[in-house]
Amino acid sequence: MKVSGLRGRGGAGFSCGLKWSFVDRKSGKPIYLICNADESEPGTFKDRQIMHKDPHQLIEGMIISCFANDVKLAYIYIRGEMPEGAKILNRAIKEAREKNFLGKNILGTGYDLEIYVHRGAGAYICGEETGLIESLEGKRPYPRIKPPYFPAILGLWMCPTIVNNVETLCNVKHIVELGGAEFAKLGTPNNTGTRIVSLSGHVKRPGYYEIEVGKATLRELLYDKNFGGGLRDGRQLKAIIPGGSSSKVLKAGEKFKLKKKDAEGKEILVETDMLDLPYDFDSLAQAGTMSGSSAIIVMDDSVDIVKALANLSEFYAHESCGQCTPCREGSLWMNKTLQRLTHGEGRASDADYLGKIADNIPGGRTICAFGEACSWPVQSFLAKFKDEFVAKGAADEARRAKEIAAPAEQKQLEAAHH
Amino acid sequence: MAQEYKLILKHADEPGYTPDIECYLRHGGYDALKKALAIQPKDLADGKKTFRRGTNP
Repeated sequence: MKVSGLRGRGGAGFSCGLKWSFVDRKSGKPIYLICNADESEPGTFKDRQIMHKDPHQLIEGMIISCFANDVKLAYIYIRGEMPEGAKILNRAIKEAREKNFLGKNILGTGYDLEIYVHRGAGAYICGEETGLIESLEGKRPYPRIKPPYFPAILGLWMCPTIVNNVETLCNVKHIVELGGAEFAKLGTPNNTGTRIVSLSGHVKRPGYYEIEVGKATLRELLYDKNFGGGLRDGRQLKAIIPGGSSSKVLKAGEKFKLKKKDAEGKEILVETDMLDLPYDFDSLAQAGTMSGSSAIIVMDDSVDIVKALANLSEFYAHESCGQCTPCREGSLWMNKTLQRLTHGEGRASDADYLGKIADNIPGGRTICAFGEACSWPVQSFLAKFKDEFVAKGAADEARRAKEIAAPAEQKQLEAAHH
Repeated sequence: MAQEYKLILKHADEPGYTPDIECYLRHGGYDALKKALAIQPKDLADGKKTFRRGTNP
């Protein structure tokens, strides 16, 4: 696994081999494996395709991963909104059991394994691994604090647990098939393998596209006829959310300094347009954002950026689990402010006000990364499109001032007539 | 020009590919599992060794 260089496909991009090596194998407790099929990041729809169209690939990947880690019981935690996927997976598990790929004494090796499908109830936070574990235990999905509750040590039922994304587990099958070294030749160094990109928004051909990691740039993904096929006619690009709704937005025309090796192997900084960023983990991290769950949301110049952020913010305010005060209060507060901006009740100072709230949620003030997830969009939208927020608020203020003044003018007019 | 590279979705979008096990087995399904199961369990105590071994049989 380590040789393959596989990095988790769920969002954080953490090394999968390293994650497995953290598992506490000496505790004497059973080790569990959970497939995170919650796929709740807005804009992401890759795992659904795998589960619907090729469920056995996931199951095979899971069995191999379980065998490698001495796991006897595994779960697939699938989000509640995918009842069809749960049905398909259950059918596939039944078929696999009939062929003795699952159950007791798998293919005569003496290895036993069961996989159960567990349906969530539709909460975004259940995609967070410790929240998922709480939910699987039958409790309210309040994420656990790390340390001490690292799933690899104190996970499901306080036993060592591995939580991997659907796509990650499917990759395991291919790593065994190809061998780690061969697999590592796919993609680019430190960004190995392939990724399924969910492309949505204002492109001609939205959909999912599997690419070698880092072998296509954002420009190619948006404009190439093999991928997005360009924007709608007569429209200009305004912004891209590159890795699921919580990743920081990229503004059209932004330039970044990317580290690259020159011919002599020395590191140099190359100025790169945001569209020329290779779509991989490291390049996007250097651009101050992330490839996250590899969901690209494209916005053209027809988008009202204030409304777009208000829409995202409404989602996060609804999905905050409410365990930590900064996130519970902050996400609602930001949403209220943004809703009043979009409903004509804004102020010119709202942009600064939002920034202040957003800056006080993340950075270790909350138990899980939701605090970051709900403030990154606000912080980045404000950093890159602040003038639009100020202008909207100022226009609202001017309109309200006029409305207040209007009745007085009316009276004056009436007085003049008499 | 950048191309799609289908590894995970190699078969999923082929016409006539169905999610049942017979179809999966026809496309070489569960071969990787058999390969993995052939690796001695003693090497598995340390999860890191597992696939390195699989790489160079």
